[in-house]
Amino acid sequence: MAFPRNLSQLLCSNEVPSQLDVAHVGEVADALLTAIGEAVGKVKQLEAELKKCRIVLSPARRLPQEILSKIFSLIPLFPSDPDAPADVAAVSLVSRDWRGAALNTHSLWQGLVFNPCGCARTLKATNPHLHHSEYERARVWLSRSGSLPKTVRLERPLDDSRCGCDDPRKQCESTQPTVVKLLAQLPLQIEEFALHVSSTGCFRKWAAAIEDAGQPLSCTSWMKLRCFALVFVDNDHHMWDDSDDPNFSIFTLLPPITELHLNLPSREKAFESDEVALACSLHIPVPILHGLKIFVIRWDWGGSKLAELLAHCINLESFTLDLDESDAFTELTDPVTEVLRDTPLVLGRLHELCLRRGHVHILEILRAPRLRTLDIEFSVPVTQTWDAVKRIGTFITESKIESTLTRLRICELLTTQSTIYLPLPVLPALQHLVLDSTGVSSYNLAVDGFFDDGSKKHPQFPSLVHFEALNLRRSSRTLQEEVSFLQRRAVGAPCLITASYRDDAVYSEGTLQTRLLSGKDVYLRVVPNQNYDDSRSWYV
Amino acid sequence: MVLLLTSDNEMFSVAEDVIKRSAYIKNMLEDVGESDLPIPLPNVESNVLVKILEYCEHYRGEPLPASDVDPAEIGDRSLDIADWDQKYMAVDQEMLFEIILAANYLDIKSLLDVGCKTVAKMMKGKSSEEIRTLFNIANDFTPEEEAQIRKENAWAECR
Repeated sequence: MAFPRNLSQLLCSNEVPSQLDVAHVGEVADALLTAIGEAVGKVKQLEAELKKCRIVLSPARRLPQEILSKIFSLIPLFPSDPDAPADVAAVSLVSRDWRGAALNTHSLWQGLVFNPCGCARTLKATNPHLHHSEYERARVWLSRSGSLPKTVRLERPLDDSRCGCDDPRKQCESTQPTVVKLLAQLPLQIEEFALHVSSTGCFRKWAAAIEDAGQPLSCTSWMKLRCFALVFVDNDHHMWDDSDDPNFSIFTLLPPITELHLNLPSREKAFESDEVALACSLHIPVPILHGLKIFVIRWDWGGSKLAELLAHCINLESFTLDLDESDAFTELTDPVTEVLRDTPLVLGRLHELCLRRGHVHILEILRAPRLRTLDIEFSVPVTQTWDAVKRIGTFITESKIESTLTRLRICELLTTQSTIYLPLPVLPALQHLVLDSTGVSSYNLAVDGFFDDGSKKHPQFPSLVHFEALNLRRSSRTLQEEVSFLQRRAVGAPCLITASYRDDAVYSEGTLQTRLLSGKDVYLRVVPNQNYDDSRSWYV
Repeated sequence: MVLLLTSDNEMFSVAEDVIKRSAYIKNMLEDVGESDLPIPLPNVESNVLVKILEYCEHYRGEPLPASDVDPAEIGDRSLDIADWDQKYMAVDQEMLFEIILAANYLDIKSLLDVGCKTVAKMMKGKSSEEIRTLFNIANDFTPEEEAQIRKENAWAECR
C-alpha cells in the first residue's frame, strides 16, 4: 500500500511526527483494522464453505451400510468405563444413514445395564409413570436385536452405599421396577440376566417382586432364562445368612437355567471365622445342578463342599472356579477330600475348565476325560510354581486328555529367574497355547521326560497354530527359546506367535521377524499390552 | 505374476502368493486360470493399491484366517490392533476409508477387520456431535427427530 509522501518520509527517518501526521496515520491504522476484520470474516466464511465441501466429499459418506454395520458391531455392549458416553446411542444419532445402519446392526441392541432406581435410595414413592416410560424404551431398545439373545444387568454402583432394604420405609435396590417388569413378562424373552445384590435378603425380595408382578411364574421371562448371574457385591458387610434348611435356601428360588454364574461374598466379609465358613453348605437344588451346562462360581470358602455340588452336575460342559486368592483346597485333610484323592470326581461331559486366582490343588480331586480347554490363572507363591506346573501335567495325563486337549492357557506363573521351565506331556491335538505371566522373559518349553539338548527334533505341539506369549519382559533373548522350540517340531503346522511386552520396545516387530523367523513356518505379531489386572477382572 | 489394472489405468505386476490374500483375486485366478490379461480393478486407484499391496506383502506366506466367522458375531468385540497394523493404518482419513473400501471390494477379510477396528477406536467415547465433526458428516435429522431419538436413549430419568 502506498503511503502519503510525508508518511514514507516518516518511515525512513526518526523524525517526530506532527499532530497532523499522527491524525493521518491513525486514520490509516483504523482502515487497516477494518480491512483485517473483513478479511477474517471472509476467511471464516470460506472455511465454512470448505467444510461444506469436505462434508460432501467425505469418504465416510461412501461407506456402504454393511461396512458401517460391521464397524458398529465392534462397539462394546457394556462399556468398561461407566462415565463414557453410550457409544450405541451416539452412533445412532449421527445421521439418518448411520441410524439406519445402527438399527440394522442387531447385535448393538442386545444388552442393557440398569442401576438401582433412585427411588430406592430415598424415601420417595416410586413414580409409576417414569418407570412405565423407561420400560417402554427398554422394550423398544431390546426388540431391535431381533432374534439375538438379550442380556439385562442390574448393577449396583461401586460405592460404599448399602442397599436400603433393611429400612422398612425404603425399597430394596434389587427390585428396580423396570427390570422387574422386563423379567416378569414374556413378550420380550430375556436370555441372560445378571443381578447384583447386597445380601440373601435382596435376592429373596427380587424373587418376591417377580411373583407379585401379576403374571403366573411360568409365563415370565425369569422362568425361561437361559443364564442367570447372581453377584453378591463385596462393598457391603453382610453376614451370610442363608437358611440351613435346604427347603428354605435362597437357591430354591433360582429359575431352571442351564448357565449359572454365582459370585458369592468373600469369606472375610460374610463369616466371623474360617470354621463357620467351612461348615456352611450351599443348598442348590439337585434338579438345578442336573440342568447346568455352564457353571461359574466365585467361592473362597467352599473347600470340599464344591465337590458335593459338582457331583450332581452331570451335564456340566464348562466350569469356572474363582478362588479369590484364597487357600481353599490347599490344606484340606477332611475325609471327603481324602476319599476324592483316591477316587477323583469324574466330570464326564466337561469340555472347558477354568481356574482363577488360586492353586491347582483342586485338579487332584477332578478328572475330565472330554476336556478340550484348560485355562488356569494362578495365585501361588513363587516357591510352588514348579509344583503347580507338575500338577497340570499330571491332571492332563490322569484325565487321559493328551490327544484331545486343543487349548491351554496358563497365567500368572511366578519365578525368581527370567525364564520358566514348562515341561508338559506330549499334546498332539493342542492348537492354541497361551502363556501370560508378568515378570517372565521367556519360557523353556519342554516335553516331560524327553531329553532335549536344544538341537533335536521333538514330538511336541504338532498341531499348534497359535502361540500367545503375553506380558513378556523384554530381554536380549526374547522369544528365542520359544521360536527355536517351535521350529524343531518333528511335525508342525504353520504357527502364529502373538506377543505382547510389558515394557517399552527394544526391538521392532520387523527386527524380531528378521532375526528369528525368516523363512520359517512361524510368524510373529506384536499386540499392545493389556493392563494385567484389567484383563483378569472378575465378573461375570 | 498377476497383472492388475487400477481405475486410473496404472498396471501392477504382483506375485501370486502376495495378492492371493484377496479372496476376490484368488477366486478369479482359480476360475479363469492363467492369463496374460490384466485383472481390472475399477474401484481401486493406484495409490490405494500400493497401500493394499504393502499389507499383502507384509503378511506374505502367513496362513489365511481359518474361518470366515465374523469375530463380532461370536462376541469378540476386542479393538486390539497389532503394532504393525496400527502403524500401517496411521494414514489420513481419506486413505483410511479408501483402504476399507478396497479391502471390502477385494475381499481381504483381515485388512477389513483392522480398518473397521481403527474406525471403531476413533469413535470410542465420542458423542454424536464429535463423531460428525471427526468424519465431516452432516446432521440431517430434523430437530424434532433428533429430540425424539435423544428421548429414546435417555435412560436415567429416575436415577
